[in-house]
Amino acid sequence: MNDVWSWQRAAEALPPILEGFRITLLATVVGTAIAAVLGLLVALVRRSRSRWVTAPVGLAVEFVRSTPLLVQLVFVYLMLPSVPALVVGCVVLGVHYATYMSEVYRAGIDAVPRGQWEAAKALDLPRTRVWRAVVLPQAIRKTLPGLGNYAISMFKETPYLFAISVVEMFTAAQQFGGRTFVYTEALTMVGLLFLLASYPTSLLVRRLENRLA
Amino acid sequence: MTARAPASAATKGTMTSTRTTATRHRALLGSGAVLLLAATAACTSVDGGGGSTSATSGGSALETLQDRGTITVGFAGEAPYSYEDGGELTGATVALHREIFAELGIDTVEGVNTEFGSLIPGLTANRFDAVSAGMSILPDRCAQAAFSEPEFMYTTAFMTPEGNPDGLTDMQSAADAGITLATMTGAIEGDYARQLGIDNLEVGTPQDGLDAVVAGRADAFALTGISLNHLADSTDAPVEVTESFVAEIDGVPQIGAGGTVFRTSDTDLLEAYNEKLAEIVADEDRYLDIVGEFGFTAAERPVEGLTTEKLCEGDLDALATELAPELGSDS
Amino acid sequence: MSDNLSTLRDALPRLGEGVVVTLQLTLGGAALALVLALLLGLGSRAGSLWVRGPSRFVVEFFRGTSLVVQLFWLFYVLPVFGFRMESLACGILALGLNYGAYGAEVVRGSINAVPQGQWEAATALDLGPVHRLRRVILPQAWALMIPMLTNLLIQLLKGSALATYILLHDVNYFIEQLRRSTQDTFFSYTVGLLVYFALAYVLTLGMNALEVRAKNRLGSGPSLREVLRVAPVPATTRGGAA
Repeated sequence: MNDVWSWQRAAEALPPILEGFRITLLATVVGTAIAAVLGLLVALVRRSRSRWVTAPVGLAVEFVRSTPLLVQLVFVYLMLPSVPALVVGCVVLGVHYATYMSEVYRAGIDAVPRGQWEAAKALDLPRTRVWRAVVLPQAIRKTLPGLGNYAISMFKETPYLFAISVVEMFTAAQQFGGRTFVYTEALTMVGLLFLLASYPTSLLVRRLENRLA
Repeated sequence: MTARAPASAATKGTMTSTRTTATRHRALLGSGAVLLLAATAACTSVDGGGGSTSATSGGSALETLQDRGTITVGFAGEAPYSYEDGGELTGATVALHREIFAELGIDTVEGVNTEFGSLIPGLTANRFDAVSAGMSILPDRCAQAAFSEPEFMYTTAFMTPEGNPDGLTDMQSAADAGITLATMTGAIEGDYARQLGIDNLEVGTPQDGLDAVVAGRADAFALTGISLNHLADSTDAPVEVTESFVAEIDGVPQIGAGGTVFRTSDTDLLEAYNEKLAEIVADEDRYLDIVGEFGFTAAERPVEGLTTEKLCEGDLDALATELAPELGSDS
Repeated sequence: MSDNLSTLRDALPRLGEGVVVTLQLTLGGAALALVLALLLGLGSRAGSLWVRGPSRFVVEFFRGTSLVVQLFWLFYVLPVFGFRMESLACGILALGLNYGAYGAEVVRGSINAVPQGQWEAATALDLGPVHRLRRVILPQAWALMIPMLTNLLIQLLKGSALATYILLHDVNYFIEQLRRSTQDTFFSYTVGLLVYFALAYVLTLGMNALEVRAKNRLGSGPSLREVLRVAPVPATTRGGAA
């Protein structure tokens, strides 16, 4: 076998990995957007007073949350052959993380002081106005750090997309390794790229959390 | 000390807590130690994975295997080279191996099923001692692993939806048609696709390739003709296989042959294997005896003069000219 | 449908094997993660920078890189450096390292959440630092950290599904086998997801029982036996009544 690390191979591996990084970012952004919106919807629905609504939704949320993202991805990919793989990836990531986000929203909504609800009622504001203008703005401020952290989590889970042939950063490294039979440089660089991208971001989120607290 | 002593039943808990916490801590320490021990054992284990060997210092892989009587090979479920039929490892390369290793005093051949792309890394990591998948002998690969002499020559084919809607006949037609071509990660057809600029979808196993074509995620699946024919025969899916051809890149026929792969350090094993292999390949009847039942014909038997050394050098143009007389009669 | 069910019935032994492998990965990984979480969590709070620095570095490193990358790196790259590992050891190591790092943050946070008064009282009673941790702080922190550790445990279980790609025959592998034999994707994957769901549920129940016990031994909650008792318990003042 040749030496353990070859800078030449590393240089060859870098272009496909950077290509893949674009896809990684795209999947993360779209997935987070879906999770943010869907999570809020789920949180609102779960506040319903009817058990016919909350029970099935609650069960579905628990089911998606407790089962592997990897298996969910492959499942949807196989069941929907006409949907492009990247779309499947973004949507499944979004739905999976929406279940986590719904908890964050729930905590955020619950944290809005009772006084706000009472004052809104005293001012005889219509329900939608109460939500739109009073509760949600306060609730969402509290959820931003949570959203940020889950976005970072999702970023680190995009490699699962290798299982549905989406060539994001990690898959690019795997394919390079598959061709050349040497994975060392490619995988190490991908690992470092993840670290370089996620660590500063998590520091930023922590700073945000402190500012909003 | 801990939270204030409360009502009666809970006091009983705090009374005995010291003893039980001590036992618990001891248990935790104990399990931690066991875990650490197991981890170091797993780390430095020479017998990693499915009982593969690593040549002991100074000793030889061949001798170790002969003592053991068993060799573990990696395969990728690519019928009819090496695959599992009803739980039993079988296939053309497997049959060849059983014959050759038996002559070398190694009576049992066991298999580890993995993705094609994991075969060489698995070999390097000592998860198995040889790769039994009829892997193409290519210059890039020769640097990483030791190939035996050629065991099969192969041709490429496409698996397409029934009726071959894109009218594919060879690699150039695929490039012209602008289709999405599925190939197995690590297999030679992926290299062809990339060199010709064909949109390439990589899959892990032959089954995944079939699924991709059936589902419409790929317009065709490129693999060796023999594998695709076998795959198509074993399924009811609405697919068909084109005529086999020799891939041509820039006018140079990509003469392909596959062999068994060993670790570069297991030189004695390689030599012993090649010796026995040469005997079989030279004898057409004996060759067909072993691999014929898997659909291999005289066309797949490696021609005289086709050696691993030449294939590793990679000068296919010169090779084609040199072997033209033999190839003419074979293809 | 009945065809599928009979195929499933025939495949049950292999499902059992798959569940065993998944549990080996999950519980093994969890054990390693717990040990690492305690070590790194306590290390992150140490006074000396020589201890704190490396601890924080290790924690941020494994939190900041993806589990998938870590697992495949251990599987494909480590052998190049001379360390040969069995697939199962590889899986447990990757899961343990990754979730141990996350666990370290949970441990650190929980220890910080133990009321300051407890530390002061322990010092006033002249308990040495080890004794103080073992008998006073950790038992309380433990009760606090269990819910978050439960979350991590379930994530660990979900992460174990990667093992099928490093040659292990876990539940995920079984799902694919079932799909090949029944040719029914929906059925196989639903069965597989239900198995994972059941495993998650059982693990959560286990952790909940642990939490009840932890709280009970602190004297701030009912005992497990009382929790599981079917007959209604007469209302009495419980815990902290002193």
